[in-house]
Amino acid sequence: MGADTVDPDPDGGDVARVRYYVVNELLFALYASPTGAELLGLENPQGHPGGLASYQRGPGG
Amino acid sequence: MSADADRTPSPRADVCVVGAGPAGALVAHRLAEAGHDVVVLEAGPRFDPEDRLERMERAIRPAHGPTDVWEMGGARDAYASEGEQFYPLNVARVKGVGGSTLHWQGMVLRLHEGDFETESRYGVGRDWPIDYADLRPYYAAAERALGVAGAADDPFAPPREEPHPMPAFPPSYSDGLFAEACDALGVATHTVPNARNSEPYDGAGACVGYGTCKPVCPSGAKYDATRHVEAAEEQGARVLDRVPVQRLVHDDAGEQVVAAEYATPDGTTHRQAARRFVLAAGGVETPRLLLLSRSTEYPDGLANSSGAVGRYFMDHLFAGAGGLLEERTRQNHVGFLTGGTHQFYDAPGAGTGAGVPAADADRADFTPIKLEFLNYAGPSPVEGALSGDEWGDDLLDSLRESYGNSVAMGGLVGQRPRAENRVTLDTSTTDDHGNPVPEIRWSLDDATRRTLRRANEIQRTVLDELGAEVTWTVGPDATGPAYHHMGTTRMGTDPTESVVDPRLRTHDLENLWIAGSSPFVTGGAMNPTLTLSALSLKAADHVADSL
Repeated sequence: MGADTVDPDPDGGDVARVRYYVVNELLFALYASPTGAELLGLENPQGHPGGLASYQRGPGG
Repeated sequence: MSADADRTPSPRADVCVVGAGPAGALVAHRLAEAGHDVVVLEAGPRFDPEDRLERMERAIRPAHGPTDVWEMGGARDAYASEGEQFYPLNVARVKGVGGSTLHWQGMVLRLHEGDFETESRYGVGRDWPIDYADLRPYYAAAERALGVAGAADDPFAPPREEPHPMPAFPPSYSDGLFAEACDALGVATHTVPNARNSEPYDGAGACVGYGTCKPVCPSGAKYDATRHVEAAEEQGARVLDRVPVQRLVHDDAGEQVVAAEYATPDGTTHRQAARRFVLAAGGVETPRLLLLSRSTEYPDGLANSSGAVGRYFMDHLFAGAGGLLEERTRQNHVGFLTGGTHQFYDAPGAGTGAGVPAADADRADFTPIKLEFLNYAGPSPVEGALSGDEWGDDLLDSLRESYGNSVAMGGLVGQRPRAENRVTLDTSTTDDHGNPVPEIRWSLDDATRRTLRRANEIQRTVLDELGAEVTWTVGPDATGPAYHHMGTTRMGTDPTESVVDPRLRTHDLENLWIAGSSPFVTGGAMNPTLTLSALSLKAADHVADSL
């Protein structure tokens, strides 16, 4: 239905609202949490209150 | 404050403060604490702290623009930008209780001694009528008030009398990479002070690392002026929201302000009388209100016998460079800075003899440079995920490719006070109350452009030493403002060329003070909130002395 390429818009058409309220809601839940972000090597992504230790740690842990 | 709140004037007020940002909040708190009756009139709303998580999400999700987070824009905030450089005013400020500290980064640095004496030291700009020593005790008081986490490891900082109230945030992993490269180049690095709790302070907890400091801190660990608004209210101050002041009214002799005329959401206009008035509406709305308050006695605007109201508008300019390393750099864990170097602040043209070349120009040809190491170089993975056009493993592969190896330096470059950079009224456009909107005329001079190029040269040298492939540079052609509005009611001893005296009182009106960044004579290249807070505490003392 094109929800991958449409711009998310809470007040837009059907597809734009699906992208905003469904797809991006799920993507936000995944990538603003360690569950998704750790797949990239990021323990404390934007939007997650993950504390002050991880920013000081090197890639070796 | 609810929609049916009482917005009628107080029957008796010692002091009326216009604006509930950091300047107005600090003034209101200090005067209320001293036992004075204080009324604060704020144009914007009182935001519910319970909404901060939602505002954070709005900041991250791509469907929302930067003005949506704190609801800026529309007829209330209409403005005009004229002249050589566009000025994006409504992303540069927040109207509401707490003011622009609601969206600020929280960087709090003292100006250097030389910033107060650019004319006598370098033959450029203008000296302040006060010096660093005069402001020093107020800097310490401002650091206690805002809650500053910092260390005494900056060899270029001006002298201080006591440790910061909280320990500094430890350096980031990438700060360590920069420190190694800078050390090889003969550049000293250090931590940077933050108005952000590194441990519980003043009733707020320590930072928990949401990473969205600018434009919103959901935990309240970053200082914002709602803290001093609440403290002022606990001391008996009244704070009215959504009551934009339309004009100040003076007595027949033109010697005293007698009332602030304000509008309420239901369309009523009231007059708040007071013995003293303090303008604390920021570097744009403060001069605008003075210009809107013109009268027969002050045909060019209230307190504007000098003609300096609105002139000498200054900001800081961003200089940056970044690229990629062949190793992981651990970015985007926090939204604030922990390291930098101020080695080129007072000596922007100096070389190091170990790799940073000296510039072929004198000190007078440059403005100060503040350099910083970013902790959020490269794209944010969550923002990338929400704006991408792929799913599942394809999206994950793209995010893995874009995240992980970025590195960047930022920095601020100063701007000299120039009369032609100014805030005036655009009478062809009116706001939601029929008042002419502010018009900003802003341009960069050769010294600022030269200094931006110099900042880029140093940044590229450091990134080369680090082994980075430099992929972007922001210099004179792509630079933008740091949203620091300064200089538009400059301080001085001569009433023919300045608006306020060294005690922050207007030369023209004996019961009108100005708090904030508009009295700055020069801007240096340090983020201005600590200095404007120090000046506001000084202004409050002088107001108290007069009562």
